Amino acid sequence: MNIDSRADLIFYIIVFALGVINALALIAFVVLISLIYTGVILASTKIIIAAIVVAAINFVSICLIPLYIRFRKG
Amino acid sequence: MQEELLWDLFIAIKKDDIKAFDKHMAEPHAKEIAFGRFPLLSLCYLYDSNKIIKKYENELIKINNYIRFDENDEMYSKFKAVARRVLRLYVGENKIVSPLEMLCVLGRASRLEKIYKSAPKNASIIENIKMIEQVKTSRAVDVGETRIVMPRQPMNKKTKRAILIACAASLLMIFICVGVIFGVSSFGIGTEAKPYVVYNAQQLAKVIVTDSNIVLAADIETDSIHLDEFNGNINGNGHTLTLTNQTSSIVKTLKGKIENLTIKASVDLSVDLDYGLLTSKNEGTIDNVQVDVSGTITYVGTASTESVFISIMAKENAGSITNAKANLDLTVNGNKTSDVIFGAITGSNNGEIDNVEVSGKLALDHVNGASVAYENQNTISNAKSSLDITQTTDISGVNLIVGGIVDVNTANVSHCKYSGNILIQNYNELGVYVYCGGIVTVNYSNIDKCIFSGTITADTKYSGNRIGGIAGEMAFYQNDSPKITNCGVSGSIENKYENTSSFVYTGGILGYTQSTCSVDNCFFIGSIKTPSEGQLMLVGGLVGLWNGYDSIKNNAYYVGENSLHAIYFFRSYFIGYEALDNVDGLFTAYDNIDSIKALEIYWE
Repeated sequence: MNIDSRADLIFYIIVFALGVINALALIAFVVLISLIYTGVILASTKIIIAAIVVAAINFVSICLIPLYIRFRKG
Repeated sequence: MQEELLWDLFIAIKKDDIKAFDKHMAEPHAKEIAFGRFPLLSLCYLYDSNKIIKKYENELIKINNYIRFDENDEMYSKFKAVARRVLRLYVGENKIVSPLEMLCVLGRASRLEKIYKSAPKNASIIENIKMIEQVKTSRAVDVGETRIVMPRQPMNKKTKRAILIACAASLLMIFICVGVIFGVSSFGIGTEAKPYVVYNAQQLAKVIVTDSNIVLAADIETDSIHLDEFNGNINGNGHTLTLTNQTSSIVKTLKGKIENLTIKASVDLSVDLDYGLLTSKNEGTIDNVQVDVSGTITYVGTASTESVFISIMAKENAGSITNAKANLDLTVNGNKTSDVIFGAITGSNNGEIDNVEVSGKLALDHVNGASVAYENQNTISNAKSSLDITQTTDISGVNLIVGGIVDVNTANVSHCKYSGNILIQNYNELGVYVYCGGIVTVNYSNIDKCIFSGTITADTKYSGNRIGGIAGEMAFYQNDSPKITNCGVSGSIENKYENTSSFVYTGGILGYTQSTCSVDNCFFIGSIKTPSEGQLMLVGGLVGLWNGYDSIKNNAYYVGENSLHAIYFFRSYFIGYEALDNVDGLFTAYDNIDSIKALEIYWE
């Protein structure tokens, strides 16, 4: 992949950040569900809010892709 | 030798090997090398040699004259694959694919616009760029001396793939998040609307606090549970909570609700205070709860004046117990000196008990008790019991009190049925006083629409028995005239004392009363067996000893094999007891059961 423009740069930063956030979130969620199931911690609205935030970040990212396609040159 | 060096240079570009490229660039005029049609920078663009581009782009872009060597097939093939129809522009010996043109061929418009100003260019290069764009996108290029504006390029495969991967990963994560939201929601958050959903004992131990709301999602086995007070809601959701070592009440004071739960406990307890397995005091709601208990509870305290209450559901009920079941295989031992009392559903009822069911076996040793409640001061309705009760003691002079449903009733018992077997045993020569009712042992208030179809056997050496199919004894209490109405007995009663100086007050409906009270619309189709001798034998098909002559109305009884009288009426100390069989409107004797079943008062 070639980073030839600011649009490319922003796109790849977003994709990279998304990857990191998603990887961490996925690990966190798996750990949390395990802890909840084993009774170490209680399910709470905070976890649900965290999941909503991560879902919202991903949703916004998907929405940004058309913008990238619109402004990229090639 | 030169061919090898050129090959190495090509390999360095191809592998983006900056160190190897550096070595070559140290040679004079190395930057001016072109492999046939491809200058070094063009080749670097073609092979995405980003490290080399980053370091040498500014120098290589300025090269205008090239020292040309032969291009190899590999680089030609690669260029051909990306150039496609524009390849024809570069047919001929003197043709050069300049870096600007190469970027245009590769579709890297942004890069082209960026380096355009600093790159050497001529009319041929500009014309080629226009042609390439025309062929590739059919769009015109806006070209000036210092700037070029390229049309938007179609996406190459790599960009498409990156976007697809990004979209797919984001969508996947959205699905995962939605899954987590539903997953976490499925565990609940402890509110009334979203109770904690509990799958195992560890979770249960974590969530069960004073005001939590809990729903069980699986059968759970744990050592024990103890809460001093509970205001929340436990919904068993049809699951079973098995307690392997429950030594105290699960909830000391229940102010919340426990519902749809089966509790199984095996107990071997020594208690020195009142004890209720599910709760010591219910001020809340117990609905659709089944308690299965096996084992032994032994009272080892020293209470002398206060009664000691033991129950497997609620020691004291001031709330509501509905649709509950108790299944017992239990022995309850007293200490021979304290007044120990057992009621399976509750020791003392001041609240509402409706639609409960008790079954199994209960052995009471030096303990008085009943299947549902020892004492009832409020309402018990629709209680069914098939509990087999064996009450024993080896001491003399005590009152043995055992009831099919309730022992002491000062309020309302209605629509209850007892079909179990009660066996009272005492082989002490000095004897005991046996109080037993198929429904209520001692009734101070109202019994309505109840049926006794079980058995009562009083097996003693010597006794003063007050036994009745519905009530053992009825007595006046707080200006409230006690009543037995619309009740039926199809069960059997047997006295088995040996000492002929025993006093026997036994009735198919009521054993004994000296108060003003009512027995109305009742029927007896069971049997009463009793020894032929006794100091005082008042055994009636309806009532043993009766005082309130006028208040007994519309009753029927089966005389049976023993030719039972209806009642024994106490006339006076001078006249003594008068046996009566038939009095119009009050009671009628029948010598067959079918005749009674045909009467309006009969029901099942």
